Amino acid sequence: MRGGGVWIAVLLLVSFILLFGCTQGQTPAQPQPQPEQQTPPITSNQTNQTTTPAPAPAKVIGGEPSTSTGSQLVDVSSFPEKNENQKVIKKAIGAYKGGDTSSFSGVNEIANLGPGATDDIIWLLQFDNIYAQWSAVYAISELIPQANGAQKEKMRTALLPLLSSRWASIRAASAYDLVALGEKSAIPVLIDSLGQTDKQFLSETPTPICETANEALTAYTEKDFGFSCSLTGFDSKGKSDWQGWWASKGKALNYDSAKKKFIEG
Amino acid sequence: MKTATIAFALLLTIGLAQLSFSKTAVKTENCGIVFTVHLAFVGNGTSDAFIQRVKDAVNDHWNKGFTCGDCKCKASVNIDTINLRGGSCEVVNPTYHCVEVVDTAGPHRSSVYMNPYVDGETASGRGDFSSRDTDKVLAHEVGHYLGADDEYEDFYGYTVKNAAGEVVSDNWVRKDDFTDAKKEEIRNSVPPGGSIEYKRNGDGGFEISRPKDGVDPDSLMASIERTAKVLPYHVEGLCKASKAKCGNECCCGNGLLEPNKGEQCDPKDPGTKCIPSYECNSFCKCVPIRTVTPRCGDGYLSNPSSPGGGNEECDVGFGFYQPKDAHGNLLTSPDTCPAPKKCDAETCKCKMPTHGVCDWGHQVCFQEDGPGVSECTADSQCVPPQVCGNNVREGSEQCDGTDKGTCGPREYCTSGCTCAPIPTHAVCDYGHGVCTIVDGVGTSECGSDADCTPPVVDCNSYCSSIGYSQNLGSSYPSGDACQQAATESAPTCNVLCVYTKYYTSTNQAGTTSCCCKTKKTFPCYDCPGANPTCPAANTICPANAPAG
Repeated sequence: MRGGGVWIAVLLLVSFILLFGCTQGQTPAQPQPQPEQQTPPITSNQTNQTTTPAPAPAKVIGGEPSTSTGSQLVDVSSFPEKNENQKVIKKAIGAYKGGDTSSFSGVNEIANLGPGATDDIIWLLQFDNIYAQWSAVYAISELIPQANGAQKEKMRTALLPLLSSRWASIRAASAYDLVALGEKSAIPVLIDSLGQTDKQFLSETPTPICETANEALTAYTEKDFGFSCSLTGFDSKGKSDWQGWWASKGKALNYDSAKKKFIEG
Repeated sequence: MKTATIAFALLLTIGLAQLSFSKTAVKTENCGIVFTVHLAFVGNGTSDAFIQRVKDAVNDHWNKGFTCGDCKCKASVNIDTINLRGGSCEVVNPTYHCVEVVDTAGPHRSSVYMNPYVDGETASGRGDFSSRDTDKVLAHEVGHYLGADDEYEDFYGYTVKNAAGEVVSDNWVRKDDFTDAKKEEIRNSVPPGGSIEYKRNGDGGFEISRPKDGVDPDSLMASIERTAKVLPYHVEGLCKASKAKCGNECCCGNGLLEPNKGEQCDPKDPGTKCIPSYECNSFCKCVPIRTVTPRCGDGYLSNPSSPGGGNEECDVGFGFYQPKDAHGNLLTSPDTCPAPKKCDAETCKCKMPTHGVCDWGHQVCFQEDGPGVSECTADSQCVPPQVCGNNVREGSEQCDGTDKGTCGPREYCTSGCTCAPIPTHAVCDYGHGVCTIVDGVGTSECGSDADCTPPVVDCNSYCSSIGYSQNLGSSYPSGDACQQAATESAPTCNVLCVYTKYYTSTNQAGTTSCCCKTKKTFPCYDCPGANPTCPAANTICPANAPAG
């Protein structure tokens, strides 16, 4: 039994040498990363801990949404109001909070100022903020039916630059107001907006910009090509019908203030 | 859009009977469920034509043969409206929802704000509509008054790409779920070397509206596109929320035998039969077969091919021949007339139904042909709600604003819509010295013309009455001026005492003055002479002054 035990011990020794001695003598095919040794351990007040290095941050192309909601979206501190109307307007704009749709109702206070406040409402258009500009366009929509000729002319002049706004909603909404004011150059902007399926800014229930544009075109011309669209697509034939109509009839269109429509000839 | 939770369900759990003072009411009758929305329209965009458009939009979208419950009871929506164009929401009868319609030329954002606890009992909605709203928008907003919720919300869309720029996934996350942790989770989902790109809307923002998860994109409560429509589950939802349902008897005839609803058979279920010599009647009961006689009122439809003939268009049971159950209770057969006609029980003919309509102007309830929910059965129900301040005289108002009503020529309309005498007050016309009565509220400043002219004083009489012999006139502004005018140089060998009295009398019209003068002369002694002596003027003059 004793001799057997020696042999077992020898076998174990040889196995150990073969196993560990040979392994250590060879170059490993795939060296194991040892991050703990490459990165100094991070210590805390309580215990010494080690951590793996943070992966490279994901590349975000074109920005990402903020997680904060309900904050004031328009910084009105830079709005230098000069009279009581502008003070009311500034307060209404400042009250808007994106996460609280009821805060939008402040815009009604702007419209309630009436057409006599046209200059002050137009004043709002100078600020490079979509909500401020939208509020002015929105209020003007309510005031056009009550405005006199001079006030309408002021509105028309002030809205014209918005036809090239970088915001699609502002382009379409201002074009809607402008056709209501008899401004023919707004028609091609509306036709162009027929291809825009994004939601009209602040519309509830969500209305695609193309729907707003079609509503304006059918309301203020004598044409209706049965165009339809949604938040996911638009009727390209309907749009090309409008484009064809504009190309062939556009020059001859005149605004009939009695009919409140653009008519041919 | 709706911005508050609807308490519609709570509101309608009160019972199945009509909630007579609810702004949105529900009632069940004849195996049908009728929702009635009471809407009062105010605002400069309100017109009869607009109100009709709302009714048409509701009819076109919500009344499409929807049913509720296991018994498939027909559910319909009725709109009861009032045109209060000149008024405001503050004067609207509290049993109506208020809808403010704005006349717009361009874009508008229409909404309904439901404030369910405003009066502690009924759901109260306040709407903000545009005169240009499309039928889809109108039907959507009325959906809120019915208790339906919005079915869309904002999402963020993002695309994940791998290091090679290939799209790995296209994803959406609810805006409400987009927390810092979620943002981090999204970043961590990007493969090494890859990227994330968030979708942008046409205004450069990230919010993209989409139907809520699981919602049909064609749902009218999710969108107002041309294909948007009310879906059966909307109406089912309203019925469930309101706990409105029709009785088990309404299930009879649906082709299914439902013993749990008390049915012994179903006449349209070929699989269920009654025992020999019994038949399944229209109440899903097995009853003894009896000989059919062509009698109007017996509850059996008899036509020329029926045994015994007959020419009935319908027979719901009426009069002597109306069948009874085992307990002697009268039984009524289903109305088989094609809608909207209804069976006239007495003649067994299908007739167009009528419904009561109010002529608010004449305060008369008249019957109009055609289906519809009666808004009245008596003239007394057609008295418009009295609204003082809308320029329309209603109820017990004697007048209202520009409508002078019964006010007389010298009366005006008060803020309480009663006639009252036009208030007057007296004012002085000082130029003419006349007291005049003028219209308006104010304090009277005169009672007669005398109050409007300065006091009249007979200075001659006055002066002589107080011992002054002369009246120098009324033109002196002060006592000093009067005294100045009376000054005389003293005569030789005499002391001259000149006395003046300046008198004024004043009223609101002005002041009248009298300047009175008298003089007394006292001789000097030894004058002319060697030692002329004159009395001291400061002694003798006061001592001899006139008494007045």
